[in-house]
Amino acid sequence: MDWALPPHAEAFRAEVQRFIAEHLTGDVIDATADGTIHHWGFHRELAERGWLNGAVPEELGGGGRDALEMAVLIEELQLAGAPVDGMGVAIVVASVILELGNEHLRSTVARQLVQGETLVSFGYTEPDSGSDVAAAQTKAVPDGDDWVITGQKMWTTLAHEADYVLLLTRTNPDVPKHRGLTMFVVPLDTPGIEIHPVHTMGRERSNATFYDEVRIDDRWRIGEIDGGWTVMKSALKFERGIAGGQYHSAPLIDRAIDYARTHTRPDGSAVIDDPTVREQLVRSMIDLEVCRGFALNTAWLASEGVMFGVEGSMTKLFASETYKKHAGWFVAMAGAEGLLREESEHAPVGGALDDHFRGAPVTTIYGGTSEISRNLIAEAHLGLPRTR
Amino acid sequence: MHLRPTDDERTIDEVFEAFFSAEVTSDRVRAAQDLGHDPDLWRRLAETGAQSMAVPEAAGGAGASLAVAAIAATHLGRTLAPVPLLEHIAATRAIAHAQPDHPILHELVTGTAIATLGFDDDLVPAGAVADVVVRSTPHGLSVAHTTPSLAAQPNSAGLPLAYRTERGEPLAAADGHRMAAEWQALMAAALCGLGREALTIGVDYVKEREQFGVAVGTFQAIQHGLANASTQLEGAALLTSRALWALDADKPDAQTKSTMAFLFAAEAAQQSAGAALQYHGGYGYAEEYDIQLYYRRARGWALQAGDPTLLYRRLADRLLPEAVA
Repeated sequence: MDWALPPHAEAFRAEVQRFIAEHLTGDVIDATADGTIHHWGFHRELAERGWLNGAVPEELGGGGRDALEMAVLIEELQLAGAPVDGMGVAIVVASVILELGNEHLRSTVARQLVQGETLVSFGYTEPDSGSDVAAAQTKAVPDGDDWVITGQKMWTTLAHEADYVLLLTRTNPDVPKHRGLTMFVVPLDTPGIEIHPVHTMGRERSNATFYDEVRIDDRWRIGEIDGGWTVMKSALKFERGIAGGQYHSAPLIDRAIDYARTHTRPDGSAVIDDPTVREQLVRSMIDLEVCRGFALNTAWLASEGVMFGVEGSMTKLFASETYKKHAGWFVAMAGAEGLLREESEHAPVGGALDDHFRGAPVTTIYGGTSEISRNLIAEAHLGLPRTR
Repeated sequence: MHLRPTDDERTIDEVFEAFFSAEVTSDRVRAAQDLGHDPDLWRRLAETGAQSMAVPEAAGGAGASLAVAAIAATHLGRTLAPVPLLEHIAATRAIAHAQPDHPILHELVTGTAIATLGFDDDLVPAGAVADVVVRSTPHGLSVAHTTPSLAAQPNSAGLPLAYRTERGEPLAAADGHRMAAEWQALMAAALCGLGREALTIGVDYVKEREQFGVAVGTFQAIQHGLANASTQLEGAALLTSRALWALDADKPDAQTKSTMAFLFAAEAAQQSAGAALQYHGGYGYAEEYDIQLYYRRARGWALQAGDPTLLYRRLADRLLPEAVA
């Protein structure tokens, strides 16, 4: 075993850190206060350095940054609290299009995505199908050379900033659910589409999108007719390749330490001298080291071309569940003041404790709930029978 | 960066897997519970070179890394082998690093004598069987060489615990913290092995055991408990591997990582053995089932280093900044 990142990845880390110091300004972070976790200027700066394109596999025409470099990039951006929601989706969808898409999609959408000119939103989930994503009911019906799409999608985050949605539709209701799906890349300015905001407890704005007889031609289809599940699996594969989300707790722990050092208990003692707080801080630091082990392992597997599965589920499960636990500890540490939102001038550490408390619960839900992760681990890793 | 075992490590793994599987049955573990030590197993183990492999060549050992020693530790944990190999390796290495020509080393390298390490208390791991007790002092290490009582204090983990009060000769220039960290990293590996085997026992059981007309392993409540435990264990194994690597490479954070790995692996092993026992239902509580052996050792092996709360406190003192005045 050798856990040292290779020199080229460490050199790249230094480059990313310099980039963050220069470009991740207070303005960029403040701009996300309205709940849109995206900043066009910052996004374009990333693209300009070839880091969106760099993440696309070389054999698909990308810049060939390897999985270890990508892990370093995602880690540094996350540790710094950079708004990178749009970046991840852009990289995944560009990679899927380059692998399975036609020439039209490759030369338009994929190119614009990696150049930072456009964004795309995932359109998988529906009001009645969340974890059971293959039960999607949004209909796509052929009409001459066109398709006519009708239905509704939930959690189409960033759709209000994006030009496209990667839309999972039902093209055949008469076969087992996984075999009757077709995927499209739908331009969001097509007549018949409405985007409605969905505001969340965690302040982040998402969307519901409505599709009323939306007519697109066949160039916007990706993958085979009724082959939508293959496209889903491809997206999942690329999502793992750039899997982020392991370091949610890092900025929280920093702020919790800031709070504990600078505040006192009613008896005048420093919060950071409280033995319970000290143990919770150390436990959170250990959990974060475990997250780092998981992250380094999956990055290394990806760099070796290994298609990992259960390792990704474990990483996601552990990182999100521990983050939620830490957020609960550290909002409690501050008592009632922990509840103060950043709008209050009295909010400690800029309202960060409350912010994490409200933001953490979504991490155990999106991208596969903890329950779905546990099902996968039980089935794929422990060999227990499938229960659904 | 390379996160797969090398060919050499794979070979060593096969050797120890075969050795421990063949030698250490649960009957043998039960038979050794009073003393917590199986002298015949210790002698057989010495024939594999386990006691000497991670001792520097200058001191008569094979000069292997801690990561290699941890392979044996993992199989020791998997089979609950009743021999004080981890204590012996950590204590012997500490003496060897400080004084490669120390006269006691010859017997320790061959396994003729047993060494152990003391923590804060006089109730010493392997104290009932160790000829040599190495302790950390403010000025280095102390080495006491006396005859053990061969009588353990009865305890729930079947460990050879005994009170040792002798203080011994100082060994200058030795790093007591490093000795404890090496033991913690090796114990973390053993606890990962223990936890994985406990989980395997639990998974096998719930696939067989039927209630309400179906295997209880089809119930999601049970699947999710096992999946959680498994995730903790895999996380523990990765952190342990990083700690061992950091110790072998002499990284500045090696001791911190070792304590982290030890604390986390202990909880992961306890969670796994606890879940597996619970899903056995009443049989899990019965002595004739093996899972209770794992449950007791998952807790007991880790507690030899003292109350974990104290270790969290010491880590906090090392890692946390002070209050802003």
